[in-house]
Amino acid sequence: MIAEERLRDLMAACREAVVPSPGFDDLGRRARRKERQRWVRAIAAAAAAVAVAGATVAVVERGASTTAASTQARHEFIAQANQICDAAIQQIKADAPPGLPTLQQIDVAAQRASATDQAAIAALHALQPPSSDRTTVAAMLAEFEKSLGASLVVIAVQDAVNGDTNAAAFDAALTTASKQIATAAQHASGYGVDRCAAMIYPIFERP
Amino acid sequence: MRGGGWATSEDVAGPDLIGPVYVAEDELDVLFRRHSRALLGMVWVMLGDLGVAEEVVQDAFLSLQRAWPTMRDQSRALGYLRATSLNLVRARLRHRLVVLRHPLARPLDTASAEDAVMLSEDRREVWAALRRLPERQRECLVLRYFAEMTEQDIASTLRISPNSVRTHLRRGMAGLEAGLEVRP
Repeated sequence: MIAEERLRDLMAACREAVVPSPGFDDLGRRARRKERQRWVRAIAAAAAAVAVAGATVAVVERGASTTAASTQARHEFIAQANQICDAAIQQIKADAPPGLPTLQQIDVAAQRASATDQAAIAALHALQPPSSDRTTVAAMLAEFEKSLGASLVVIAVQDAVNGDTNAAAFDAALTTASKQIATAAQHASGYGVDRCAAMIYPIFERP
Repeated sequence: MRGGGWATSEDVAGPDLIGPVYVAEDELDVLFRRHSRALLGMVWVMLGDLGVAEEVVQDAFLSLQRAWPTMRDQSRALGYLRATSLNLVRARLRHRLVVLRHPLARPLDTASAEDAVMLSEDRREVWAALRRLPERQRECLVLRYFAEMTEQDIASTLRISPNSVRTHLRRGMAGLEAGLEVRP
């Protein structure tokens, strides 16, 4: 039997064999299940991001209290912070897949970008800001962490909706992340760390 | 997902949220009764997993429900359903590439789907050879031989030219033939 005949035979067998499950026609149930899945995944990812951010802040606050004597002048701190953020931006751009990437390439690049951002934020925490600016800097770094957390939520939701970037949950996560990133950038610009204001977060843009 | 990107504070723009959903229940019911089973078969042949195929078809109908109010020509709903189903199939297949890298992910259980219809060894070979084909060739063959669509309709669904469809069909069939020869 040649390939075409064998293919016709298989297709005919499949047409006859396909029998949907009893609940197949219940579209409402599917819609409700999808919505629940979206929010469970989004909330879980957000909770994880907040937990990581909280732990990092706690560690940094402990370190800051013991090394207050070695604080830097503001311009030194800004120069070093900009250097860290610029290096992170260059690294993420270098890791970004070229052209129209596959989802697998995007996934790998997103993980690298998250790691780069986390390392940059940790390096910023390790710097000693002027003692008068400590509260401002801590607030700014908290905004960076929230931005990274929000971008990870976007990835988690994108994953949960199987890449359907038209899904309402994806739109909501993207809106939240966009606002958070803008807030973090305002903090960074206000303090003068311009390169940190341009920090890159792993977000999948709407096509 | 047609494209991935990176966002900075400068280039992230807030997207418009999807507004209230118009529920075209009657029309949707009719379409579902008429076409869901054929669509399910088409998706199942491509994915090899009946449970996932059902989700894909349901999601395609839910997507149609959202798009219904803005559709210019509602007589083209079937074309929309086919195209959406194919997009979702592609997304699921690509998603598997990512999921498979994670050790806790549930492995793809294609054998159970084939067992469910008690396919003969001969038909399993053909199905396996079909799955090994490049995406476009597989889609064209399934649309032609399962959905029994014309080359013109396939071209319209996949948004490619009829000549491309003919090329994919010819290459797909040659690939199938070769795949069956290599694994007798």
